[in-house]
Amino acid sequence: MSEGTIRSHIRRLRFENDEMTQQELAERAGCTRQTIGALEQGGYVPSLALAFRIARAFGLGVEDVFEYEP
Amino acid sequence: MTPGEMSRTRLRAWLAAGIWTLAGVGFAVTFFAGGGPGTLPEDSPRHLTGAVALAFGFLAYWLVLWMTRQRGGEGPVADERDTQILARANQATLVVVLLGIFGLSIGLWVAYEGEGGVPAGWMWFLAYGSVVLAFVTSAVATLILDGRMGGYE
Repeated sequence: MSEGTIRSHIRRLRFENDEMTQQELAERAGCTRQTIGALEQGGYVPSLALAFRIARAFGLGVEDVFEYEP
Repeated sequence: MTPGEMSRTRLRAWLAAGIWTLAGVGFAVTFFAGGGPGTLPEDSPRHLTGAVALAFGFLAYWLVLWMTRQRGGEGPVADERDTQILARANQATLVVVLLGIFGLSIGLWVAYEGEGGVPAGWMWFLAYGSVVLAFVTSAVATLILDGRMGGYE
């Protein structure tokens, strides 16, 4: 079975949230700026815990930030 | 990319690659200069120089880890992505070091099969070389994986 792909809307959401920087989001989510960059580029799939922390940093649910494509 | 833009893991890997390459060159020069493996067992100054090269590697690498440590009030300098990168780099290192030791051991066996014994100096090379190979491979694998897993524009 195909693993599918995880897409994130982090870049768009950052700009919709007063152009939040990657560093600001990283500090709120408890990860590094490079991980936010990797998530935006689709180079890294986060753990469930990090996905929740990022979603909470935007005040949204996980499925509003990440999208699963089978 | 400036050092300030790099993740702490990437910065450490670059520095580790440089340090251990230097240590490896120092150790290789020590080994091959002055007669190679045949004369090494009776050559104490070369033993000492080789040990100094390796000690330099460990001390310099420790210094890098200490200088790039997490400081109070600082955000996380490493996270789950770094953990994943390091885990994969260590897997690659294990395979490369195993293949390196296997390759050298078999190579020595083939080279000295007819003589009935291998010069003891090669065991010194194998011991020191495997340490250098492990650190260099780990650093290079970390850099490759960090690049492949994104995070830099």
